[in-house]
Amino acid sequence: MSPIQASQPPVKPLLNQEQMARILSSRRSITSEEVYQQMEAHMGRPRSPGRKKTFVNGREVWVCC
Amino acid sequence: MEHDIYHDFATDRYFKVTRDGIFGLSPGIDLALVSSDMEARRFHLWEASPIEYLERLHLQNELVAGLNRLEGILDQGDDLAIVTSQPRFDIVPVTLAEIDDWFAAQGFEKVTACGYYRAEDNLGVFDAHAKNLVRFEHDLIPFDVIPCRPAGGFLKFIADTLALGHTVIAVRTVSTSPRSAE
Repeated sequence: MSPIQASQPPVKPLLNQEQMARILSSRRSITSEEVYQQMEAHMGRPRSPGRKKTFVNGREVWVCC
Repeated sequence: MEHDIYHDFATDRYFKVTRDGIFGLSPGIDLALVSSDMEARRFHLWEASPIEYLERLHLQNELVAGLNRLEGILDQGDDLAIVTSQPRFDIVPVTLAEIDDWFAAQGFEKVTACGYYRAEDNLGVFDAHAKNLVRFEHDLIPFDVIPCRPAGGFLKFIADTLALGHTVIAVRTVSTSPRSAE
């Protein structure tokens, strides 16, 4: 912990453990299609991987999809 | 978006993998070259370092209990990625007006569009736009905001801005490239 962090007042939580437990236990189950739609809506792009491994000049590298 | 995201149905958690060596944004100030009668300080969202990214996740966990779990680090030679996970939340959309109202009810003052500051615990929360929060009953869940503990010149800039009754516009420095589908 840096000196600046050490001198900070304690954080007042926005959601505590009890609230989070209630939030998570009340979730409805959803289909994979709904999950994918939610992911794409949040990311603002298709959910396909952002990169893939390929060979460039004989060397394995990550490239953008 | 600095992550690739995957969903694990077994745990109902989202796994987030940083990409392109980008670790999100870190708020601060920059100085612009302006005439002497103009305010030179600019609110700026810089690309964060890996340690700043981890500090941000830690601070998010202090705000929202159990939000993030560090799953590991991917060492890919010249490319390092941080893997974390979050529980899935039901998506109940919120409006910017609702976000403003909720942060005000939590004791925050508005500093920028989607940016808030609470002096009580010296806490700034930025990037709090409608895609980064969801509703649960009367509460909001800020699952992908940028919290920070401002200090030094940045803290003074926020205090001066609020004292003058101003809000500021954020300038972003982001190099994440857009991608097309496979």
